[in-house]
Parts: sequence; C-alpha cells; structure tokens
Amino acid sequence: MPIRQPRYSKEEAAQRGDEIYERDLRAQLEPQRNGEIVAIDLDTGDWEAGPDQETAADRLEARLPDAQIWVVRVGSRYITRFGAGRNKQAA
Amino acid sequence: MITGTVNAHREAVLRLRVRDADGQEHERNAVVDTGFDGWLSLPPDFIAALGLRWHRFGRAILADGSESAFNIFKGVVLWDRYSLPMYLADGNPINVRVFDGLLRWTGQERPLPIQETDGDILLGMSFLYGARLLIDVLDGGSVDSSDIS
Repeated sequence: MPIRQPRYSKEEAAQRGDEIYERDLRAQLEPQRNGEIVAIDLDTGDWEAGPDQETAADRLEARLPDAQIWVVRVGSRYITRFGAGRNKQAA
Repeated sequence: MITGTVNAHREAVLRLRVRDADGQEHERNAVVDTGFDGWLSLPPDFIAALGLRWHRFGRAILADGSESAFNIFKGVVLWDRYSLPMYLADGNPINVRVFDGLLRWTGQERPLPIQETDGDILLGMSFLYGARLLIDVLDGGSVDSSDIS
C-alpha cells in the first residue's frame, strides 16, 4: 500500500479543487447528480463519482494510486458540516 | 451501554479508547456534537500519535456559515461491534475501541472518514447513527448511549 502525503496545502487544495470542478464537472453533473460525491485528482483533473466519500475516493485511488484527492458533494461546496445551520450557506 | 458525563462546559462527553500500533490504549474524552454530520474528528496531535494515514482533502461549512478546508485520514470500520480498525501509515490496522454498546454495526466493513480539526475530539451523527442517547443535562449528569434495538 503506497503511503501518500499531501503535496498541497489545504488552501491550495481547495482552490485547485474548485477550479477543476467549475471548469470540468459542474455543467455535466448539476443538477442531475446533486448529492453524489466526486473525488478529483488535483494533479490530473481525473475524477470519479460515488454515493459516499469512501466509494468515490477509492475508485479514483484504484486508478491513480498517487492521487491527491479533493472530495466535494455535487451541488454543494462542502462535504461535512459542523454546528447547526443547514441553511447558512456561505454567500 | 456506554456512558459518560456532562462536563463543566455543558457538553455531553463519552469516553473513547484508542489503541495505537504498539497496542497501547489511549483513553480520551469525545464530545457528542449533534451539529456535526460526519463521523469522528480528531486533533492533529492525536492523529500524529496514532499514525493515521492521510487520504484526501475536503471542505466543511462551520456554524457561522464560513468554510474551511481540512485533511481527511483513512479509516475503515470493520465491525465486531466494539472495535474500529483504522490504518497506520505503514498500512497496518489499529483498533479504535469504544466502550461497549455505542456502535451497532454488525460484521460489515464500513468506511470511517477521520477528519482533522483543532480542538476537541468530536463524535458526529454519522458515528452515532443507530444509537439512543439519554442525557441528564446537569453538571456531572450522566450520558448513556445504547443501541436502538
């Protein structure tokens, strides 16, 4: 099992993940597949989708063992939530 | 049934027992966070001490509506009811155990995303899913968790 380490800062990962999602994924996934999780390789832009984080990330990792993975929920900017406030999406 | 207490900050706390690579058990307080929709959130120093394997990045939305990117570490729940094997950096499993009764999965392998965030150990609603919580909301009040059967 290869040992991967993050090669991006969290902020870089978020920025690059957003760029790839906006450029390549949003138009083809929203809104039909809202709620699915996509895992994106930040290096290549390759991606996989799945019903949950583990499934999507494992599918991508199976193809790209060294992937630098960003996960996001289709139709949302985040995959998890701390604190009440489902409706308090950032503007 | 697993038990805990309401602490001075009026948080419901359950005790987690975590076993590291050397087989040593670490006992920690974990705060029940019903506003956290994930599984388990651990602070960086504890993740490092356990040797968890980094897996990916993601983003959370916080209570004030702000967003924050975070690291996610790999863990897999291999259920014998009370143990959660997670994987060390070298690929070997370790067990994260909780006091009896909290978790109720039966035999199947389930993913457990471990999120890295500063602060307390948080148990989220995905972790608690299927449990019944009974909390006496008083200083030192009891927190009891049992399976919904």
